[in-house]
Amino acid sequence: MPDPTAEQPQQQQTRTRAWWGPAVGLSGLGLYAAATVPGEVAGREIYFNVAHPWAVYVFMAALVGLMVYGAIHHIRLWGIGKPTPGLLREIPHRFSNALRLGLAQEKVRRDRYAGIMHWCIFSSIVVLTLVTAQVAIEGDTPIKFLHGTYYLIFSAYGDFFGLVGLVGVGMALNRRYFQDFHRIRWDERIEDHLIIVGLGLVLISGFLVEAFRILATELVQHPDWAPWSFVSYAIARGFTSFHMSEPTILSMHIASWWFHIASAFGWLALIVFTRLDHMFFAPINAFLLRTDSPGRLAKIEDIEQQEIFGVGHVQDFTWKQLFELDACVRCGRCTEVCPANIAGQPLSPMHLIQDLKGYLADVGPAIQTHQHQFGDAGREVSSVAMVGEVIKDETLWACRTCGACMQECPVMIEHVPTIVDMRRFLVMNEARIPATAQAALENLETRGHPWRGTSLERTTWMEGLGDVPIFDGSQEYLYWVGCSGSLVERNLPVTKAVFRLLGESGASFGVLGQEETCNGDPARRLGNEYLYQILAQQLVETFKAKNVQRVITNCPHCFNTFKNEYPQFDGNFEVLHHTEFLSNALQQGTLKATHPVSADVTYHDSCYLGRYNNQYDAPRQIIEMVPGANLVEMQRNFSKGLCCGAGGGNMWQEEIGERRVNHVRSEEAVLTGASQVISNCPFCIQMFEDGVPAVHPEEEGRMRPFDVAELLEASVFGKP
Amino acid sequence: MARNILVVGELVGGQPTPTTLELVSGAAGLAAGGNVSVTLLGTGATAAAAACGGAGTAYASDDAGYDTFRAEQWLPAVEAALDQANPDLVLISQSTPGRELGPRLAHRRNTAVAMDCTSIVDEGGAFKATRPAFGGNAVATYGFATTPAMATVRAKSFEIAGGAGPSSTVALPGAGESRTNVTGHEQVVAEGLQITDASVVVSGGRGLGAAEGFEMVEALANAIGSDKAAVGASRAAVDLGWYPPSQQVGLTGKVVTPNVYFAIAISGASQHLAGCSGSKVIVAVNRDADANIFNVAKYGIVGDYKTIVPAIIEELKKG
Amino acid sequence: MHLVVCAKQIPDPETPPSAFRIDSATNKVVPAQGIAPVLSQFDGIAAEAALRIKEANAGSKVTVISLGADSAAAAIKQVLAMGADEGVLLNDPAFEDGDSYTTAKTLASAIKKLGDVDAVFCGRQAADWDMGQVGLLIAEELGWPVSIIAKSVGQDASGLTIQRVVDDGFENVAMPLPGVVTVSNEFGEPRYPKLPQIMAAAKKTVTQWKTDDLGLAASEVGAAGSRLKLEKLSTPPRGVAVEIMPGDTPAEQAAALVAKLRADHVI
Repeated sequence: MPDPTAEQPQQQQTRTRAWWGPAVGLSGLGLYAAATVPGEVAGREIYFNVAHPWAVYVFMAALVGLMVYGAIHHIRLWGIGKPTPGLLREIPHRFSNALRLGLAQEKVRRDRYAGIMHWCIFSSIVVLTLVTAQVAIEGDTPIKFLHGTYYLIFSAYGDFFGLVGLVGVGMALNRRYFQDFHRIRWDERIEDHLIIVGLGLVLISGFLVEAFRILATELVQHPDWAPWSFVSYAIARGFTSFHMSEPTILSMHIASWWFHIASAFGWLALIVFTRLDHMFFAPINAFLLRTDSPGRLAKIEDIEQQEIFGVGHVQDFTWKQLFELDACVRCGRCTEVCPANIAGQPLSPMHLIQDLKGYLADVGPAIQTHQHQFGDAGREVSSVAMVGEVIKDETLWACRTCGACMQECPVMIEHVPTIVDMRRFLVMNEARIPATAQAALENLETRGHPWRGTSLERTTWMEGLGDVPIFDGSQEYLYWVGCSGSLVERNLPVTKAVFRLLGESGASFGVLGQEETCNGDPARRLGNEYLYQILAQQLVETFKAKNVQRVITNCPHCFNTFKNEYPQFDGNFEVLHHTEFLSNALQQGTLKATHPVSADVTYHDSCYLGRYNNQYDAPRQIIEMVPGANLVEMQRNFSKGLCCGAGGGNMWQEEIGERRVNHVRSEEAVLTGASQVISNCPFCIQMFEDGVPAVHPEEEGRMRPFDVAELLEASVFGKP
Repeated sequence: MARNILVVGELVGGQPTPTTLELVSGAAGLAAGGNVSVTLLGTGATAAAAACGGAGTAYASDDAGYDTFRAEQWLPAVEAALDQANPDLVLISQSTPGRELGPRLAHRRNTAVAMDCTSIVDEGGAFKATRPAFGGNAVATYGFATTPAMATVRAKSFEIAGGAGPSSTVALPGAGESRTNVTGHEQVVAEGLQITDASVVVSGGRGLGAAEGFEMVEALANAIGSDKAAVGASRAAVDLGWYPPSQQVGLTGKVVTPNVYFAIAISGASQHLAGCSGSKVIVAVNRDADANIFNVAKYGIVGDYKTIVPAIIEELKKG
Repeated sequence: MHLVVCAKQIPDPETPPSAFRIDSATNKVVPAQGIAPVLSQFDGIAAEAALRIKEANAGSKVTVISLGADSAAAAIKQVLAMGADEGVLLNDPAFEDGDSYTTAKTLASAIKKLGDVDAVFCGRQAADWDMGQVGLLIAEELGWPVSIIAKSVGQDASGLTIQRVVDDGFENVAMPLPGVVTVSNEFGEPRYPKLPQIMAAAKKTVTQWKTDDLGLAASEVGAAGSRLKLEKLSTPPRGVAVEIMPGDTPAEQAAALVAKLRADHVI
């Protein structure tokens, strides 16, 4: 049975529908108000009972001044960073990101409760700011419009959104104080209480001001207008039972008015000092968000001319990366989904970003002064090393580059490139690498593959398959087997399966055999950009020399590298992961899955096919077309899938921490009760091969890991 | 053709080492009636010579100055023996002394030595030395352009044949000077033998079923010899906390290249094989006949390690 | 101090056995397709040992010498990238196919030519032929003391202090300089080169010396001067399939196994 809480692949329509509700509601309200319009023109005295309303503008000037100061301070800090290339490309796409991810908060809504809560607060603040602005315009400019029908509607929606805001505040209070909800407490600060309690006070005092005014005026003079301000009206009606005298009411009114103004401006001032700044930084960061694939790491241009490699000092980040640090709201979503963190390993993306942010605040001003005076000469302004002390080496190495943090981040922080930038510094500048990762890199350098000690050759898998066509430029597809597909015993059956299926489908294809070399992905993820560039350039040249146009890969890491990263080296090829090709072939009928494979199977989304390349459907379609195979989803799937633990070069590293990531993921797979866990990635399969027996020691009835191609092979050709 | 052969012997605790006796026996076989002589240096050398069955002459010095091996002290003594014995072939153990003596002696006698040989034959009057090369991927056979031919020989390359000891013993001079000075010596007990250095590695895997299974694995290593065998573990076993990470064999652990690698209850995941595939001989003991380890093993026993391993230990004790 | 590292480029020891081929006509290893030669691992460790001594002695210099063909420059560059200062390639067709003796004689001639060398660091053996002679023979050629199979190398007023691996443990040795040390894998992994050093190394020129530069005659080096003659190089018969020990009882199977292992001279 499919898990009902699992994410399903249809999420699009709700957004447009969300706008219909308020629009219809507001029009209805307008019609109703117009129909019941009273004889007298409705309206109210702005600044009723307020002696020195101009003082508001003093508050406002102070607030603006503070904000300008804050902005200048921040901009100068970000300014110590390096230029951010490509920000002016694809402006329309960037605006669309700002609207979709910033204004419409698509990421915030990935946590449903938080999404509703945040939308309540957000919409309330936006509408109430407009309400206040209208009051100011009516009171302090010659423009007069707050009367008649519109005044009544204005009163109604003002109260409505005040109430919405309180609902949001209530939800926030509930989560913070009454629920066992961890992630928001991983880095809880006093400001978090201030923000939420403060907002509550602003909203409540707003209602009180309105209630006392209604009590003093409308309830007596225009009892038919008063109910339009339905919340304040109800409060005012409640107050009538206290039988307050008019002077008391007026004193209460003026007291609550000033309290409301003071608390509102005080709360707005929090924007400068607290994470409330996200109301600006989040949409701006959405605008700044990369427009290309998240699977593409930045290329270090002219690498041989560089003096420093990667980021070892805070000023070596781009200013966009520094900006991102300030956008972080400490919500903990990144850390909550981080596989390293889940396994109790020394990485929390949120703390990493916050530690960098704190470090920037500490050393940034001094760096700024030094840069001003000495140019780059004043690099070392702090005795505390950013890489190694503020951010520990093992923290950087624990990252799987799985992208789950970036997928969840509601303010669009890109953690992985920042982590890889620091790895680049560790590897290329400092040569500080875990021994096993170093061995993998050395193996890449000397042997062109990361599998130290393999006893297999690139052609071993071909044994017993008859004539394996070598790609010579005449075939349509290059079938790229990859290092794992040819040099790791467990992955050979997958390579053979894909090979047989390609043949069966009638595809025109060839392989490179001995001429394959690593495309550089592990080097790039482990931070050796130099080695990566050498390998990538060589391979792009090989592909061009052989007239490669279309590539089918075994491995999602190869797939991502060819598809998203080789264009940086002028290598533009049409790249398919084998699941994409096989799914197409099934749909076109060139392959027929006829033999039943009766089994409950669960499917594991690899990070580089799923999150990085948005391919969730093709592998599932294949599974669904295999007769007898019943797909049982895991709790974490699709874009919320959990990494197998091998990404980011961790295939070749010793893990530090409480658990192994692959044990955690294997446990989740075993929990489905399926007899097979199906993946699309040679690393994932190796990780499950290792992880499943660890969490399920009984050999009897133990789940077995397979590639999608192996499952399909059994169905197309029948069990051997 | 009768050949004179000189064996450079070594003493441990006043007795010739087993390899010394093997070399003397081997030399007796190769000498074809020629004279076999042996040099012995250090406390008890003269008395120990009698144990060298098959040797005709012993060259010995009882000087305790030889007890700690220093090549520069040994070399003049062995050269003095060479001057008198005038051998066609010099055989030396592939041991700590032999590794250093072989090349230096050869250089001083203007000849050459073949190191780490597994067999020496006389082929029509010319000695040929055979030794593994390229990590066991190749076997090389050498001839000698100069005399005497010299070889350092791996233990157990010849059988000890016994026979009468030397009929005469010639005294060698006492120990002289050495520029290098031995300032300390640390005898390493079994735990100290690193799995990367051990000539035999006995490894256990998840199939042992429990941490206690390693007791049997250790027993096998001890039966082979604590100076030779070390205990390893698969990543799975280390992960389960059954054995310390320092002993992990595999891609992310240690890469070992022993003469024999025993994989006890190890399935043979590729990451593990990466750490042991350089072994000369892999022996697999596994209940599962389809286990991947059998694809790389030279010898296999299909069965429960709990019965197989004690049987191997018994058999070794008979040896 | 002036330290010399002798570095050899060898066929990759991790070449899969199935790709390892020998040309029986020439008794040479056929380079496996797509598998580049590498720096012998022990020589990388020797370089690490030398670099640590260099770093402990301000103003010291490390020169790396390799005897080999043009491709061996890569091995030299690798050691330069680790931090060595200069590289010398002894590259002459006359040097080819020598034995340990001619190799050591040629290297020693180069060390003499350098003149002011305090210590020579070699790997305990080249990971192809595994003879373990060259360091010792260089010492004999130069008339220097030597200590082999070092696990650690330190310094005191009178020279180097070496802990070396011996059959039953470790031995501490004091060796005056100039002298020769051969370094074993117990020393630890060589460093991973930093990219700026890799790039600096790439720009360095490697000095090339031939027989004439070393004052050697072609007849005394390479194959011509060799004393040990390789007569046959072959691949040992490789068991394609596992040999399952016969026997109905564990005792019989164990007996069969132990007999096999003894016959192989491996235990």
